[in-house]
Amino acid sequence: MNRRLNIVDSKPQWRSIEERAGEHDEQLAETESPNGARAWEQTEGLSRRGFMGAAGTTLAATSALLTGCIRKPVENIVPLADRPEDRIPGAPLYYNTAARIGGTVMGLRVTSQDGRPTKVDGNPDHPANDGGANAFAQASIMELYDPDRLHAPTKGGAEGTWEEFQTWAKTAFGSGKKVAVLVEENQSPSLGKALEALGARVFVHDMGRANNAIAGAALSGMAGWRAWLDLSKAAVIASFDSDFLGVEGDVVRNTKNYARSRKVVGDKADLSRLYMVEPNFTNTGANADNRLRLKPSQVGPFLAAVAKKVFAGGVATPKGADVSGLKADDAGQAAFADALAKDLVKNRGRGAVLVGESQPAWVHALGNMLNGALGNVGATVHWIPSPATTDTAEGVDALAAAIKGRQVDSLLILGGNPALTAPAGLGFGELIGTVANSAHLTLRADETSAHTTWTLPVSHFLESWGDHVASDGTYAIQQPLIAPLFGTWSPLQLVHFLAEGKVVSGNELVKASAKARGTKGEAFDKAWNRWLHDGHSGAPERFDAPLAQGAPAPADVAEADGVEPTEGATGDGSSEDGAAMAEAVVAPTPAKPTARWDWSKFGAAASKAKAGSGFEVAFALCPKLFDGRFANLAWLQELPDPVTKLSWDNALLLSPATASAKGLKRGDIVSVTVEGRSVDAGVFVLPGVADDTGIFTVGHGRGKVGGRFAAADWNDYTVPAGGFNAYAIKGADWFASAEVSGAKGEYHFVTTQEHGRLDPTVETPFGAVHYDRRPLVHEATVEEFAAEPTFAQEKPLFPLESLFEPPVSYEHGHQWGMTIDLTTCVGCNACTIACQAENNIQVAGKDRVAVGRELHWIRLDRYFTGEDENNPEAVFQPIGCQHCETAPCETVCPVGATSHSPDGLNDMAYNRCIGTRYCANNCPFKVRRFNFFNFSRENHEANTLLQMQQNQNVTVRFRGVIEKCTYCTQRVQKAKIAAKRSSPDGKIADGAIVPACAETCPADAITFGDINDPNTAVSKMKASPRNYALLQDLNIHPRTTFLAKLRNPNPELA
Amino acid sequence: MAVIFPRWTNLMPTVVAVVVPIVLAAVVGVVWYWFSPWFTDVGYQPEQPVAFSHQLHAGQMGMDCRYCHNTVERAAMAAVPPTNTCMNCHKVVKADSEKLTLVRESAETGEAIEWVRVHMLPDYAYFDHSAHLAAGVGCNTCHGRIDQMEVVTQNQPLSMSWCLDCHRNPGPNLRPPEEITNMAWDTATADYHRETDENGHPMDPTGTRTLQPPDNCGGCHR
Repeated sequence: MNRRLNIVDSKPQWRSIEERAGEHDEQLAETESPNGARAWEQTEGLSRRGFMGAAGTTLAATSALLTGCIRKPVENIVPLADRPEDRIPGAPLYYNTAARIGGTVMGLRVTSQDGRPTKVDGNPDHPANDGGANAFAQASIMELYDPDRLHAPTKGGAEGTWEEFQTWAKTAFGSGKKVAVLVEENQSPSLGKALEALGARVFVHDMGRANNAIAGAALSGMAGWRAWLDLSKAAVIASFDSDFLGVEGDVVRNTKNYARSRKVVGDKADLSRLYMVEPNFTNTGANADNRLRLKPSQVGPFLAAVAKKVFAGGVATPKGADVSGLKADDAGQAAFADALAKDLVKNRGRGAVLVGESQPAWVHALGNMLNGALGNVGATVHWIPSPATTDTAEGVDALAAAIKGRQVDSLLILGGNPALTAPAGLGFGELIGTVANSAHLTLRADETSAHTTWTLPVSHFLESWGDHVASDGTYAIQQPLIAPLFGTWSPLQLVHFLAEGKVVSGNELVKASAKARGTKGEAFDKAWNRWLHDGHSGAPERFDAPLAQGAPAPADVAEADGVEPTEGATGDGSSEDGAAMAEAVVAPTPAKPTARWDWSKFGAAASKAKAGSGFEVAFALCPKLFDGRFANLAWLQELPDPVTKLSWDNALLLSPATASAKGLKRGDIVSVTVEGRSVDAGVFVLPGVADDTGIFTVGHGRGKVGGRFAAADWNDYTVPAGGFNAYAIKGADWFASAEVSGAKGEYHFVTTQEHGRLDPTVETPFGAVHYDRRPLVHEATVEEFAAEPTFAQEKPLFPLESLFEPPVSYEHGHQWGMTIDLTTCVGCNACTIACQAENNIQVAGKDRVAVGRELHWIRLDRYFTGEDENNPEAVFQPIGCQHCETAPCETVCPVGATSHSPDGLNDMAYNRCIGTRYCANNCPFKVRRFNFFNFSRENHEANTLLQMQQNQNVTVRFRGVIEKCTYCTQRVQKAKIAAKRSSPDGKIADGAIVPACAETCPADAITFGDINDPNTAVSKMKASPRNYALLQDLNIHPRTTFLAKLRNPNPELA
Repeated sequence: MAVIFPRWTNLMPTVVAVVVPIVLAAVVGVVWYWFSPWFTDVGYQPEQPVAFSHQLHAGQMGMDCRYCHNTVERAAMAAVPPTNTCMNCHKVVKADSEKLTLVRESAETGEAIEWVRVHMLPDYAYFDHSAHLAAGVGCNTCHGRIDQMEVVTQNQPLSMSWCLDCHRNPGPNLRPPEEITNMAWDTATADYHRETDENGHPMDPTGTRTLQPPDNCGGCHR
């Protein structure tokens, strides 16, 4: 049988170049264990785990004998002696707070169960992220319970006390000392004020800081101002190496708004068009409609080529701008540049030119110029006075020079890990050692603390008071949910102590700073309570009206109307007397911010640019560990990278053509040399990377100093893990000419992209049966969709008939179902981590992931599409349990441990499961996970604090049982019980149940609800012509369905 | 020909036929009862740190259950009250009693009293008090005559089959919502019939919808 599938779906889909070449190890398809698994099954001798198991069994047997097996162990009920009014034992409470996580300030809503913070989500009321949260925010709860956190200040490796430190600091940071402070990017007004009071020289170093964008703003005459994006109404988005949906800047806001610009209603598609020019293959690139692979040094010249075409296409060059000296180079892609320029000109005021942080300042300035000239400012790109207090601070190179020049007696390093992350040529770690007095405030002892006099433990953001101004100017208070677990201080408390010599509570300091902002006539106490409750102080003001019309000369701006005084964003105001707090507070009026384009310095800066030749290495922030700060978060280490699907590692990514030209293959260890510095790295061949370019993500390969999970030896590893340290060769720039030499060994990479593969060709006694290899992700362009809206409705290969009557009727009551919109899903991995946090999913470790034993309930499948293996497109598909109505797993369970509920959930009773794994074998989606070991005990042994994070409404699974996505059945039950209690007809309102994945999804791609009611959001999604179910020939009726992916490529480039 | 089996062996088939079923029945019977929660769990009566008498408070003085277990209608847990609830009265009543030393200490120091759990469900079973109260299941249906217990004792097996007996046929265990905490109400003798739907299934107390106690795994196991 070989029925022709739909024409638009004929693009081939493949998981890896190995699969494409047919070199895939068939063992993987035949067995549950992939390539090379056998070698790792056995470890020599009695391992720690084996010993613990044996010891545990002996202990259990002894105690069973002693107690006579009669009673369960005695349990105690420990009620609070004085229970707060709104506290109900066992019922969660939710608090709004805010934090700067991985380069951006987000509003957060945190769940507290009986006083333990257990989950971090986005605050739906905070405009910066609108209820979404990314994987970093979701995993930040694990940072609170990091087992390697410092418990007390240490000096020279010996534990000290805060009192000892205070005595030391009074002299070391006392009068007459030349004090320097190295901070991370600071968007906290209260900390800014404290730093000002300290009066020290402030330097800033943060890999999440937009250094080049800030310098680019200065080149545009906009020093002290920052841009933020609102892509919701964008029609054309041109990204030049900006991974704005992945790791760069406000990823959650950008993803939300990007998804809003790509909504499809019924058979009407109105999609923005995303152009991506990049060396890496990021998940932003995978979402692009038109993508161009370029070496990193060619991106700037290519933008110059586009700019020239834009200015030639009827758009006036801004006053005072000299673009004649621009070194334009379209890299042989004139058609792409042409089409992009035309599209930008056509969509004036509805476009956005984004430049990535890895590009030098002049490229950013050119991007600003284009946005201004095209009228995009005020529409998609907004400028505000910088929300950071660190705009004028010098960089780490200036600090290095100051230390060398003996201008620093005492150095305070406030967070961050500059010894690791500072440019390799500086030798910054050793320099810190030469300062007489130094202190490092940090969560864990790391590369930097090895060189400082004192290492001080910092409070997690869930333990301390603070405040944050988001990139759009929204002010929010960071309120703690729990008292510090250990004796820790917040950065604010420490700086205030050094400035004033007093230890003051963070609450008092933040209150004073909040008060200085003014309350618009409201009594301060009332306003304060409202800000805490809402998680922000109200919508911020906009400033960019005068910048919107073209690119006015400086004089035009000075008199422009509509520039409102900012409310403390640029100034700190005067401090008020504490006694007057009950009164309304009027904000002091800071200097009127003036916005002006000024292109006088641009021409000179741009003309120095030069495109490199030869092999280049582009460094990139890691979508899992960011700059390495999340290295000890086991959830993120194990999380497969969005595109490479590498777990527990990073790699030097090469395109297939480059790899074969250099004679390298996956797993070869090579030496990478940049400016005379070398480091070893394993090669991973990734289709879609620019030729002659190596991509190297930072933050990996730190060994034991990164923590027990970064060291990756916490559970008797039998394979090396942890990746390679790109910082060893990274200079100040994000890309550099490099050399790659020698294959000197093998490294085993673990990538989950090949797991659970089923070969569609089956040998039978009657000959081979060939099933059509049909795409699992249906994809079409908007033109194809307009011509045939039902393109995703595949014709069944077999008649959908069953010999059996359906055992249960699903016509009555609530019937739960889910849709996932593949047009808006950007493949960011947030759902995987949200699910892990909600459902007590344990970490398996690299050697178990290598044999397909990872436990993620929701995985993101990534398929490459297209014929060119060097330049494919990629699509993402989140797959959890599909909750089939006629589920194949249920019929094979010998003990009935998995069965259907009347409302259509595929229930899983762990206590009934005996671990035959028949269900996992029979699941066509391979979403069932087996506890091959006592993963939960192992995880809790490795990190006893993690037990505080575990969700008490979800069973912690033990060895020998199957687990899988439950549609968050605990949330379904909670809503059902609430309805039984209070709803007259027992009906649950639409939207009352939101699974963890849908709650966090930054793209709002996941919709859940009652499919029996035609008016619910999910029913409306299912009514879309794009709606399709996977593997419908199996007659399994999955409850989760997908909305086919649409792209909007430029027809001129087809 | 020598006799292989002596004559008495002729009795063996009879003996086997009689004894084996008796032994089997005995084994089944022993396991059936003595290994079941009806024997292992019912009657569990641990000693509590404070000799609190439900018989005195709920029985003689007639205090409503919800004075202390005040979350029972709103939440999964019928919370054991905080020490402050005790002190509401015992600041003035029996303020010097020796038996209340621990309670007074707890109120002063804020240290919790470590009560011993009597009704223990496995960690993988999620029970919700509020849903049962809303349906009209009374306290004494599961907990017995607490008002007559000097020391709280487990009265019912709380086993899965015992739960399911009621979930599959809730009718006989229902009562009017206002009688929920009435310890003297006996569902066996009271003449109370809940309204039923067209299929004969009992409705909820307000008569607007059919009671649907879950009998699928996910109802209790998450």
